[in-house]
Amino acid sequence: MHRYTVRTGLREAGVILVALVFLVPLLALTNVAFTPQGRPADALTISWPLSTDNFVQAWSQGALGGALVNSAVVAVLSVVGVVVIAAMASYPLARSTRRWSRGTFFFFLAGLLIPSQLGLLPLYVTMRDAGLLGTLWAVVLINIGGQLPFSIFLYTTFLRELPVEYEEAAVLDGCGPVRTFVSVVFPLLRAVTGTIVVLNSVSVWNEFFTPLLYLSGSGQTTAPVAIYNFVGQYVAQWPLVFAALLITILPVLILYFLLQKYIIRGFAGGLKG
Amino acid sequence: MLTFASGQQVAAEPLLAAFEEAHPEYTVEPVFIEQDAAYIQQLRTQLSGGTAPDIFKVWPGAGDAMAIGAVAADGLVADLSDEPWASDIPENLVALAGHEGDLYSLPATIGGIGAIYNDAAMDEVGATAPTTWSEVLQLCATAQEHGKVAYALGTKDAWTAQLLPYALTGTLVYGPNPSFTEDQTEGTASFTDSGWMEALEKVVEMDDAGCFNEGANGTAYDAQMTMVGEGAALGAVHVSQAVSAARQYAADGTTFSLAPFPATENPDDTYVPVAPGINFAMNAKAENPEAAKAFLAFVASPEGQALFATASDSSPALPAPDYEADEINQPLIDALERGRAAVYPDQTWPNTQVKEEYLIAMQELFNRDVTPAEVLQRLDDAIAS
Repeated sequence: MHRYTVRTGLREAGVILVALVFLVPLLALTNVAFTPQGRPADALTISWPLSTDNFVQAWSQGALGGALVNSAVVAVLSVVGVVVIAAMASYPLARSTRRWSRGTFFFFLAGLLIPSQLGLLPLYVTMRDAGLLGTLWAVVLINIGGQLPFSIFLYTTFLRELPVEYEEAAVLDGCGPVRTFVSVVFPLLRAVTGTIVVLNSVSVWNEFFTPLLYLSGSGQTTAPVAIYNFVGQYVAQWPLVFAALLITILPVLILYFLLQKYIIRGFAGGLKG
Repeated sequence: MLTFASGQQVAAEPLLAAFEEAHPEYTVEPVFIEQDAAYIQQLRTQLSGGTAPDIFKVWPGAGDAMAIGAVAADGLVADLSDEPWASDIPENLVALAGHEGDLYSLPATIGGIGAIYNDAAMDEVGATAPTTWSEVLQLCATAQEHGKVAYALGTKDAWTAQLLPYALTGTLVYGPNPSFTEDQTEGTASFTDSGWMEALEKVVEMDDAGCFNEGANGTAYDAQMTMVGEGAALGAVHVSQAVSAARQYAADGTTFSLAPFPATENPDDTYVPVAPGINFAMNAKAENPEAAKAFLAFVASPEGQALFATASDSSPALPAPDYEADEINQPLIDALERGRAAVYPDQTWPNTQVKEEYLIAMQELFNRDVTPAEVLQRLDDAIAS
């Protein structure tokens, strides 16, 4: 039990001060979002009266309702796809000692090094021929493919550190490879799965160019694309942009607070699960 | 149905609505992408994949991946030389709208580069728009005496860094010699041995005279136009369309005007860079070529020209008798009528490397890391590449 000393108080004051500094951009974001358009305002000077007009206008003009639903559908399907495929692909890569296993692992890792622009046109033409242009499936498939290399890298390296005794015990109890993976190995991957879910969710949620390209002309859009339409070449409607940002941050923020315990545990890693 | 892609949604929507009203047999399905880099990447991919819209925005000249010269060279756009409106295009805009003598795009609007002034701020310091170079320096001193900035700069957004030298070289290079770039490619002229040197030295002179705000390379375009809009700066040397940003940040009733930016001691010497703002091109593989041609004809009509020019804070590129210019666009029209309009240099450059090198070098010059001679040597190397 530590005593609360003057030093503890100073340390706390320092931490609070740093936290306040981190809050400055959030204050500017919120302030501009609540400032009526056309009123010149310093981002850090709160100007009364506050107005919620920007939120109403951003919501209706940017069709944010539909965009948020699309973003959520894309994020959920992409992340579930990545977790299922990456985890299952990593299991044999981590456990097999044959030469092909090592080669295949490096083949997946090569995906981290190849610039995404190289595959842009072939992927676009493939989606066109598959009749998927203008559908959310195109965005989901591109996201799953794009996120797999890093996720496979994380799962495989994590699995290599996982003691094989758990699986041997499962085999002795009569489990086949699939049952062993589903019932024993995957639950033990909970920590790294948490990390992969968080990293991929943020990345997919913020993705701009893929939905812009593949959903173009379909009338569907995702949140980042909808927000960017408020930024013109010569005139940017910052109050609308900032209001839209606050609206689209909310779902992610709520998800974060609900899953905070698991997310922190995921980043902390380890086998404690 | 007509498919259409462009930026500037606010300006394009009234044009599309008027087209649908004039041609009820067609409906337009538009896609608006405001960010240039994303627009270029998307349209290039769609053109290669055969899914590009029937009509899309292109840039004039050949200095960009989606410039008309580049897409026409790749065979991606339709030849429009035989369209009925082709002969209405002013002679000085034809070369920037096509490729190897053929017309491939319709110049929809024109814009210009000049000094945009906040009229109230100018009144406050008792100044009028300079018409000679020494008056420019005098305005800088007057602004400082009143605690203001004469010319706001926002070179954190690199594209704004190119504009001041363009305004100066209109008078010092491209106005007197419109074929300067051709002379360069033929090897008879260079950036280093031209009026470009004087132009960049004048930029440095302005910097030394305190004409600009502190930390220009840390100031973004929005902050620059906020200074002009609020009157903290008297003005900015900018593209005419940028006035819409200044208006956004100005108090109600604030007015703005544009003046040619002088580079010599004789006001009659001054040229104004005037160029197509937006060109529209037709997809070589358009699904509905009839609708596409009807749309281009509508945009080229006096009604379409006046409507789009007003909506986009620009001037019409083709004749439009009903168009009434404001204080920003009238000087551009005057310059055209007096034969005092110069080209935008980058629209004549033969490759994209010159522009890329120029934007980087200008930021370094505003940082005073390089000299005008070093900047121009790099540009000479880039044009030779």
